[in-house]
Amino acid sequence: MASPEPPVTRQVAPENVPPTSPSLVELPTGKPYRPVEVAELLRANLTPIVLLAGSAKCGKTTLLASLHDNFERAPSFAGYLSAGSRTLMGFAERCFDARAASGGDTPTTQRTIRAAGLLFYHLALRNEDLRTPIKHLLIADMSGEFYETAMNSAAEMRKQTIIRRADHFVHLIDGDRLTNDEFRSLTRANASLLFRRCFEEHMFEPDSKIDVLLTKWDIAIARCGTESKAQDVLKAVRDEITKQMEGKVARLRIEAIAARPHYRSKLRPAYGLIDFFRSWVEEPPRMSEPSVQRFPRVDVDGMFDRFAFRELPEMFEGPANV
Amino acid sequence: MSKLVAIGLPEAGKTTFLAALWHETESEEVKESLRLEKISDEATHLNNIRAEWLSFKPVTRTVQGQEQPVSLWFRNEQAVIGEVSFPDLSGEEFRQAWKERHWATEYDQLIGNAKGLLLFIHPNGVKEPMSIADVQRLAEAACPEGIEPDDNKAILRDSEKVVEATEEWDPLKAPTQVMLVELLQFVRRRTRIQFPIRLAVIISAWDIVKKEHGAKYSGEFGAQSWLKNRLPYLEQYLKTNPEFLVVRIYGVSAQGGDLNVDRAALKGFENASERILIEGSDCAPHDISEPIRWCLDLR
Repeated sequence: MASPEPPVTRQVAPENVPPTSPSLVELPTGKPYRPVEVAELLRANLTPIVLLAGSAKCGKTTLLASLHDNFERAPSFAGYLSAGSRTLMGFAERCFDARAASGGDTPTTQRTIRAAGLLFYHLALRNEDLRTPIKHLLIADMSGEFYETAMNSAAEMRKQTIIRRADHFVHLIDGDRLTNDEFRSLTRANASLLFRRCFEEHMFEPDSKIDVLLTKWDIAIARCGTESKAQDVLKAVRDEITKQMEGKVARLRIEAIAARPHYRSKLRPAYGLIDFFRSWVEEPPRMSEPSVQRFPRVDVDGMFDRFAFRELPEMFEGPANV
Repeated sequence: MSKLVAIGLPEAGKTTFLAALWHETESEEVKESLRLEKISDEATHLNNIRAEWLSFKPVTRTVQGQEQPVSLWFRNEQAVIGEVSFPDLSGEEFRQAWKERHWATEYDQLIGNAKGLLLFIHPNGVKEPMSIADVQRLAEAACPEGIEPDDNKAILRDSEKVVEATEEWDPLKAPTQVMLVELLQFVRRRTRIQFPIRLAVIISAWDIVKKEHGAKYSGEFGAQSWLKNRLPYLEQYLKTNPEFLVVRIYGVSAQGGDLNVDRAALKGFENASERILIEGSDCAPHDISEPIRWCLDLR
């Protein structure tokens, strides 16, 4: 196989992991990372974080599994090749329930249970032309229960610091429920409430990038009868969310997707996902710091206050006047 | 001493390859092949597997815990190459490493110091990532009677179905290509030598592929095309990590055919080495030592 560029020779040291017993050498678990475990990867590489958030069973884990599945089933996906993963066991487990090997008769995906909390999955990717270095992507899968708790409690929302840190906040809305008369109003209200809570708790910055994905679009079309009727639903949601968010974040995209469409659907696997995936990989991570809460300027003339105004003007509201 | 290591999952063809290699290099039946400079001090295992190979018997595969140290003294037409360590490792160890996330210290030493690797894949042992949707599609094509004619109704019916309990997840049910990529990632983490490492991917029982697909996978890049179609995830990994691995892919049939079906034809060769089939870059007919030459950086 031809190499795309001259290989770089370097000396490497074996991973310094103590053996479990004198006769065994421990190997990486391959399981998804917990929040405390991703720091090393984030420091070592400019790795964007994509946060998948949404109610239970809205399709977050299916989206995650289908991304990996596309690399396993085709020579490339979205113009990228897989260069490996540090969470391969996690992906294999997530993909399992939609595979014939699971013995099931309906494709499904194990949901992320609350106890699992927030899990990070890693992808190493290289552009098909092989001219650019390997890129890394971390996809954070937040359990639906966390999402619901955050909607109910400002304190819980503030704990979800990953929302501030994420380079792409991806809110998944269940397209099936959105087109079902029984659940439509509740689904729309919850989506709106989440964004409102995020804004009120300053979880988004002006440079935040928000993607709203209406999942299970194959079912939505089937429920509406035709694609054009389903598009009307999409338009209504788009108008509503755009009105709520316009001008408050750097970018807002709202589209329909079907990560793993039904085999009788005319939609192709990963329908609607390719452009999103490409941008998640290609756009550099956000470099901005979260905004700092400033102290109100008070009319004082103490020595220490004057010193603070002069040395740390960025800590106070209003122009520096010392 | 140069160290090569054969890796792969169980029954991937590692020991049969070694038996044919031992015979060919010792017998000098193939002109272009590497030759044996001298017989190793301890050659019981090699002679046993060679005897099975020459008698058209399936070569006894290596059992975990009973791995044999093997070293071969090679030379080519120009000079002595030296001793090449080629331990016959059990594929079960690698499969267990995927599941249990550890491997024996002895394996770690061998893999960590290997100058080159041979990764064996048997076409009939590949577990593909077949989805339930694939199976449903095939089932409908086979038995079209009784299916719901309206696509929308079929989609809605399935979406409302209560999903029945499926088999429990077991890492050993993962697709072959995922396990092999992880195996290579383990090697990357544990290796102690300079990158890049030379890797020869051996698609064994190549006669099966040739019989099934005819000319579709012929010639120098036939094995590479097969890999791309059957194990795309592994093929992507090999292509995207040239800093770590420099790769060549070979189709090899060490037995030359099916021992039950083709036995008479295989017996008809004057020289036993002539039954060996190999395709890939720089391969002379029947020269099963070419992947070794590549791994030893003699190309």
